[in-house]
Amino acid sequence: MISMSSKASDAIASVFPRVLEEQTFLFADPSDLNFAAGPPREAVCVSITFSGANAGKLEMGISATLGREIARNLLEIEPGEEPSDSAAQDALRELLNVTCGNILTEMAGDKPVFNLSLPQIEPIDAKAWKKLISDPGASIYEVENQPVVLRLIGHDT
Amino acid sequence: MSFSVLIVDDSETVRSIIAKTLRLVNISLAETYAAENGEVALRILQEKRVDLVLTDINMPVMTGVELIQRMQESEAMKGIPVVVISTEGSSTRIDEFQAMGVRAHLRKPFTPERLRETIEEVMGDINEQ
Repeated sequence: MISMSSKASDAIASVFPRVLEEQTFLFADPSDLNFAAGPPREAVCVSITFSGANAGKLEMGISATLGREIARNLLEIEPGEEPSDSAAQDALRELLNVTCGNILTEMAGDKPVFNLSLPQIEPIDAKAWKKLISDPGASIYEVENQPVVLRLIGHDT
Repeated sequence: MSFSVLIVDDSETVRSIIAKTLRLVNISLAETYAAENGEVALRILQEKRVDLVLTDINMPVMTGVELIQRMQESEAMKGIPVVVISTEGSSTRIDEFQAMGVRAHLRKPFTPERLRETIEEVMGDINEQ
């Protein structure tokens, strides 16, 4: 069993920049509340739940614009061509799926078994964005001059 | 040796990445098929000659585990090598995959080189002629 609150930020810091770079060739730099304060245009929240040795949810606040950039890199789309909205959403779901699987191993080791849900994505308004970034457990990054916020909500089972 | 591969993943992005990566690392492929879940994969396996299955686990409609179980129950399919490509990091779960007949597991994110090495371990000579 792992203590979610004490390890979550460290695990996110260890995993998210690596997964982002290896999957998309983009870089994530740690940032702060001030950078993320203004909600990005077309903000979305991507979420995935997990159960097993521990249960909880990983959320990622990000702009759909950055989602398109990530899809462009993942799919090696030529400059000037735009990935579809569904491709951008698919890319964000996959990014969170891989990030979550790797964070859980980082926190719990390679013995416990976790079951992950299918990632969900939904638009969020300025109020929801502010709530997400203001959470003490939120980890804020700068990616391509845009904010990305990750938050792990967990409870021991 | 040229062979046909079936890529099973609910993410179109991932299916596309794997297909591109297979071409990038010069694996000799006859045909590349793709399915968004285990159910569609089974239909393709019934209709086409497939030499290798690369499958995710966490998918809607029919998971990768169910797909592998159904393949093992089929005389025609149980000999087809299966490689799981997933976010799974639990050695307990990976041991379970191996007990089900899975030949190798590749964790996401993966490099093109790691994909090639994994397939080479399973299929032997995979170089383009």
